[in-house]
Amino acid sequence: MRSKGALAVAAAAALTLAACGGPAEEEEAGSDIEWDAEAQQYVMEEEITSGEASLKVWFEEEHLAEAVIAAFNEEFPDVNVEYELVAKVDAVDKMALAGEAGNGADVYMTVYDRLATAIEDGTAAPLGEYQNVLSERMSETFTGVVSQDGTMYAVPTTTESIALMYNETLLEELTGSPEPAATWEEIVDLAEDYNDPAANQWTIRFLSGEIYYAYSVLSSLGWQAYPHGDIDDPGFDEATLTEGLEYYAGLRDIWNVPSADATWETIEEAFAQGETPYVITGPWSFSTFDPGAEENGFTYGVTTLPAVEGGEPAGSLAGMHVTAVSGYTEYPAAARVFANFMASDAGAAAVYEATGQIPALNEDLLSGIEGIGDDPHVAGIVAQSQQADLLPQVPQYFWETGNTMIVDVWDQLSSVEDAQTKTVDGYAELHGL
Amino acid sequence: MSTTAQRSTLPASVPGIASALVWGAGQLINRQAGKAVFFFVFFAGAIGWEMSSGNYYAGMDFTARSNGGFFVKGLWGLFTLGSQPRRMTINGLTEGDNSIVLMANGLIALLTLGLFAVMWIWSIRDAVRYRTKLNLGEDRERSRDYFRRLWDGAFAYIVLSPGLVLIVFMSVLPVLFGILVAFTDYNRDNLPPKNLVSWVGFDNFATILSVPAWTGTFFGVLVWTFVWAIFATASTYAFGFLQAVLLSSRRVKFPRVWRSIFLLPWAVPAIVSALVFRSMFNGQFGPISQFLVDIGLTDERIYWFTDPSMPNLARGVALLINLWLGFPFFMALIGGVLTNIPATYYEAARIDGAGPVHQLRYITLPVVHRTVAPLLILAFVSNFNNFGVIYFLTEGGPDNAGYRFAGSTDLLITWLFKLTLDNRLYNIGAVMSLVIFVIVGTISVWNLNRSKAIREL
Repeated sequence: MRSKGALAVAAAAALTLAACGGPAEEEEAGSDIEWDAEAQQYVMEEEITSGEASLKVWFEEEHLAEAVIAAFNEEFPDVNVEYELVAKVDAVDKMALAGEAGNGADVYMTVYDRLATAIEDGTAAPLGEYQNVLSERMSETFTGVVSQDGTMYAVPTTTESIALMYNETLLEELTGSPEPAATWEEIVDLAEDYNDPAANQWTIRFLSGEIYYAYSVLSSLGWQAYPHGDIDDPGFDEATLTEGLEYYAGLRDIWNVPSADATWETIEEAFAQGETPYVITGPWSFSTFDPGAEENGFTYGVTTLPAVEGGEPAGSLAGMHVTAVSGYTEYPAAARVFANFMASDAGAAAVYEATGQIPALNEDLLSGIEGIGDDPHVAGIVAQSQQADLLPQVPQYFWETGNTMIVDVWDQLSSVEDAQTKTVDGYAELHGL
Repeated sequence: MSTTAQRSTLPASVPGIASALVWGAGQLINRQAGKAVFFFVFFAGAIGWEMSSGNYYAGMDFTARSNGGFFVKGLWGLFTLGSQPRRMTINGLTEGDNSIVLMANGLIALLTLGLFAVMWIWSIRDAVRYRTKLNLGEDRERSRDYFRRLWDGAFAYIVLSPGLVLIVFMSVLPVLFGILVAFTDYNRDNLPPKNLVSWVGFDNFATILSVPAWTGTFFGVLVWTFVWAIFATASTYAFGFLQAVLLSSRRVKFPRVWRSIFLLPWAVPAIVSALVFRSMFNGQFGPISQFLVDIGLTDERIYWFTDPSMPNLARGVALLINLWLGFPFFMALIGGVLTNIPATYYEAARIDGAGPVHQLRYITLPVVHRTVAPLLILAFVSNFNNFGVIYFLTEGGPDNAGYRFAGSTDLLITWLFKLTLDNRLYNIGAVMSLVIFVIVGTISVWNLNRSKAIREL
């Protein structure tokens, strides 16, 4: 009898536990956010405008974050904005984890080539009505990079394009004129006298193993990546590419260094020391070159990339830093207002002042930003940006296969035809997985 | 006497079945209240956990996805990997399932259930065994005495059990997760949170085999990985041994100073050293090439890591640098073993007329080798997966036109990293790390079982 009684107690205990409640059903998503057509902006959530809740943003640099938030608060004084420092290249991966855990940012900055992943996995949300606002303020080159199927997923914030930088002082000494070369042939002519491989004296230096740099030569000879804007067809089998690669391989004569040995440090340092007349790099090098030029007593200029004689103007691939709205944000309207602010006149001015990077805006809007019009270096980058090519959201393996092709050609590992065939196959293999 | 009669008529399976249904019930039938409470606490804990984390009010609307508790929802998630994809709207992501979170939660639920199952089996076996003993006429045992006996007899296991639980969740869980990913389509086309991942069986294995260009690369890289692991281990061991023996010689002045100097390479983080070596060995701009040209030893610069026509040069230099990085470990280790060899061995050897070479060959080497053998195998494994040195020193270069996305010094692990993480092919990466796991695991287990130090542990 005792055992039966105990069993009954046990059963009762189990039932009591079963009676404890569980979590409630999922909540339904709220209604769409409201668009104020007159002010051309979304109506921010009440919690945000009242200062009850704050907006969280991820920036890479502290001074940039503070400058942008200060400018934002001038326009929207009641909004609290907090920031955390997250590197742009890590932001997308971090967002997928932090967003799921509920402590991600509402708005974050990242790099354009990471955006494809963010769109794919849903960590970047579409911009909605701001798409039309932004399209009027910047060229299609910029909006195209952040769009997929006609929807914009991030605000192009700053642009960077590589350009040709030249040492005016040294050029005057060598050629009698501080004017830069417009074609590769002119550089080759100068190299015949100036190059001294034994002493590591080179006329031009650049990262020779990357398609990002080789692209200017290839495009000058008529090749365009993704000629039909179709991700299935990167155009690696085009005849114009064969021609471009053969010409590119010939440039090894004036910059005869294995691609892996031509590292960043060696390129930037030599130019900053005033030993190299030409270097191909981007605006991120200014911070090294400016003190270097002052110390070693030279001036330098920035201009468009050299073309191949008789070829088209040299293109480049537009690189950008972009601002995205998190797919996890609880304040979709306020987050979009902040993201859009990054490309407004006041926001762009704050970005330029804090970082010296060029806002991704139309040229007429740029000239309104204080200081930017007087900067001849920036003018060179902007001029090259005008020739930059529109790329769709390219997959990571475009860079991988493309770089392998450039290395194979530059280091003479295989013939141009073989390198192209291998690249077409490699792209198809990775694309088909 | 009526109790004895009742006892003998009750078959052992009755309390067993009772305990299988309600843990501890069999013990209660066996009249061991303390044990019964002990097992029932676990039973109630498991049921209570499930009930309180789920929603069992739902009645007919009950679905594992929305109402299941920790275990039911967890297992449902593990089997289905989610059924409700999330969509992107202007308000952000809609509610839905995140396959990777579901998979992780499912694994935690499964492993927790596994631990509970251990208790369940214990309670059944205990009920059956005790009843069998009673039926054989043995004396009753109070629960308290049982637990005391258990405490005395299995003390080591009881003390180790918290550690076992930790191992299950901190080591077994991630390994299982990695293995499971190999059977899913978790890659750049199916990235959560927006997309659902699903089970694909052995498709990923078939995919790898269906791209012949990769098979060639795989075997080429595999052979070099073996060569690297063997040479890297052998060279650091031999050189470390030599240094340790030299330092232990009485004729060496200031042995401590020398030892500190030789230990320095080990004290610097290997990645930093690798990066420094990388710029020193830069073929075009590095100081070493330049120095050789300046003193007239070579006419042209030597492209240490970047000359595609001489992959073995890069491989050799990488091995040398690894030797520099790795020998202090064995030197310190063997130095310690040497101090433990009794001096009487050597004395006896000297009396028998053995010279220094014979002493080294017949005393020092066997004693050291016996102690160090398991560590040699571990060193082989860590060299097999020596990501840091290769990735930061050569980045896999010089490039090899015959390979896909690999260079001549790429190890399996660096190739895997470049191919899968950069491209977000997590499933393919999981398949390949399974292959590495099988290779390395087989070698280690086989070797460790053969080494005396482990067998006598």
